[in-house]
Amino acid sequence: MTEQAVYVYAVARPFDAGALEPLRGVDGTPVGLVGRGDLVAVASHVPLHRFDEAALKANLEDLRWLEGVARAHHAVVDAVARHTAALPLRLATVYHSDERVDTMLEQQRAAFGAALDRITGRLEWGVKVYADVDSSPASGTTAAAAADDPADDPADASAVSPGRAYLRRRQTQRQARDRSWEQAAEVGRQVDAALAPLAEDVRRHRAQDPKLSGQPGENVLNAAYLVRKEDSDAFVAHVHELLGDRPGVRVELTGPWAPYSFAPAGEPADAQHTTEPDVLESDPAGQGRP
Amino acid sequence: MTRATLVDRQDADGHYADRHDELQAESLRSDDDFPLANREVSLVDLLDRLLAGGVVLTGDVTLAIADVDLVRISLRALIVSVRADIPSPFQSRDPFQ
Repeated sequence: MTEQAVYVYAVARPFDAGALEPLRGVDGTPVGLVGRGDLVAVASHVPLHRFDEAALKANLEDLRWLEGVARAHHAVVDAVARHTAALPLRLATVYHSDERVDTMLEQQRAAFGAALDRITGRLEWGVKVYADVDSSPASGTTAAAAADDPADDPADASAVSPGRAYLRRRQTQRQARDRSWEQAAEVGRQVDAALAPLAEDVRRHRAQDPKLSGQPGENVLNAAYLVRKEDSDAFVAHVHELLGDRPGVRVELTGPWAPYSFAPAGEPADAQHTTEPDVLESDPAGQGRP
Repeated sequence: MTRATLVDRQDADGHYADRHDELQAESLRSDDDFPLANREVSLVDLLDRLLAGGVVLTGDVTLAIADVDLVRISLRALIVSVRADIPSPFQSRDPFQ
């Protein structure tokens, strides 16, 4: 018989598990609730060999696997969040048994309770701002030519070697790009400053690489906002208002999301490193949110 | 999950169409204030949240955060091929066509 593991999607207050009936989780597995107390884990039983360390290391490099698990994970989290306040867990949080999940819930009871109170009645909205950045060599070259043309600066002409002139030209180009980028970044800060007052909390994600997102322009803001449900209409309307009169700037709204970006950092990294020899160490410095 | 994308709605003059009503309808169309999750979410947005967000528990099988960062980097080239403008990356078709 295949050894089983427990894949946990989210933690919530107890709710009617019948609501999960049609759901399928990772690898097409049924989704159920684990937990005996005032907290439940939304989980699936999965074959351990599909999610043990070796499998994860190999599979995470496999885009098809990663996307499949990410979308399955998200589908479960999203469905649960429609029913009740739910704390999403990091992708691929796997335990050896229901008992281990119970233990985890017990250990985290206070933190989960506080976190659930904090996100109940709130929605996460994603806002991304893209700004055109003038990175064309032409502008920098023009400026550099003006600055470095020896005819403009005869006293310097004999003293500047070709190598140094090149470096100076490059520096001028870089400065022009920096200025353009700074202006774009300022647009992101303005949008953020306009939206933050409507939110209870803000989390600024790392800017998305244009190669990943496929979006033109620099991603100068990639933020998540925790907004009360009753304020969400106003928030969305405000995002729309920010679209006007800003040439070269695009704003994208996503959501509402389950509160992925506002889940607590979780336990101290060593809290579960008990006597089990197969508990794998992870980088404690990487456990917290930035 | 509703994804209200404003990016693609620029008209020929570079102005954004007035999509306020449509945006609200898309974003807040809901049962129980939380819309059905039928709409495709971009994988990049999803990974932002699933790899950088969520409760981080040690679990019994740990996804070390260093590995996650490596994944993000090593997947860049691949993810380009699953951008929203390419409906399915997994059908047998040339992604470069």
